[in-house]
Amino acid sequence: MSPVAPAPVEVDEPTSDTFADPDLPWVVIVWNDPINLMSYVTFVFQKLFGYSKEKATKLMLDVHQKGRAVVSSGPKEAMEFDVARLHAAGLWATLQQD
Amino acid sequence: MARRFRSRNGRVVGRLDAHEVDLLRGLLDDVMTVIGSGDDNAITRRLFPDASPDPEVAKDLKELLYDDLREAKLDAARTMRGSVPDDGRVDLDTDTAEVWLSALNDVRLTIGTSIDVTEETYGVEPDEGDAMLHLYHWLTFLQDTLVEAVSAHGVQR
Repeated sequence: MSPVAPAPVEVDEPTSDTFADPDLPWVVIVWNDPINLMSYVTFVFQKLFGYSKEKATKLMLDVHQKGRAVVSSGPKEAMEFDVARLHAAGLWATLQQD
Repeated sequence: MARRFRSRNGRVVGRLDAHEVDLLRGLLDDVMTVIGSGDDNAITRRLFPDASPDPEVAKDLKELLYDDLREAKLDAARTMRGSVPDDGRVDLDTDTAEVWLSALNDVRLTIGTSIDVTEETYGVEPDEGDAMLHLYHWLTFLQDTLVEAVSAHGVQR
């Protein structure tokens, strides 16, 4: 994310879970990218999930500094909905079983 | 040069020059063409990223989500296109300003992907002839001040 003179972040490519347990909840992960602004990502987390400014900012910084963050978890269908809304907002999001 | 977007009496206001009005409309037309094209290239893969690291799951999710997502993006771009005022005096309610955020961000994703933006791009002063980088910085300025104006009094879900 930018701007804010960041150091490049080494990002592990997404990997799939080989031994998925169908009872475990699903998670939505947002990945770092160089185009979405930090302020905009924070706004999107507040708007879509109703997170406080503090929580949204912490998640945004996790994405920015660690390369990714889990932003939502729950049943598969709800997570598909969240991924779709994040993609509509232009963020790079994936879902997988926790 | 456009002025910052600001929050005023619960609305979002700003001022675009005449050529910026034309430029924004043209960019939104271009983005709508890209979204509607169904092409597979770096830009469409950024606008419609895989929703899973597993290619099979990603394919299933694309079938499930793609049509609605494409319509949502086209709607946002169309709404913004229709609310860019002829005289450049932008005056939006919060809902419309939030649609602008999404549509403007899709424009930034499109231009940013085409010029291969990295985190270092933001510190780069464009050369005189580097129209695309100028354009990208201008779009970033608009997006940045628009987020600030929309968020000025807190963000409601």
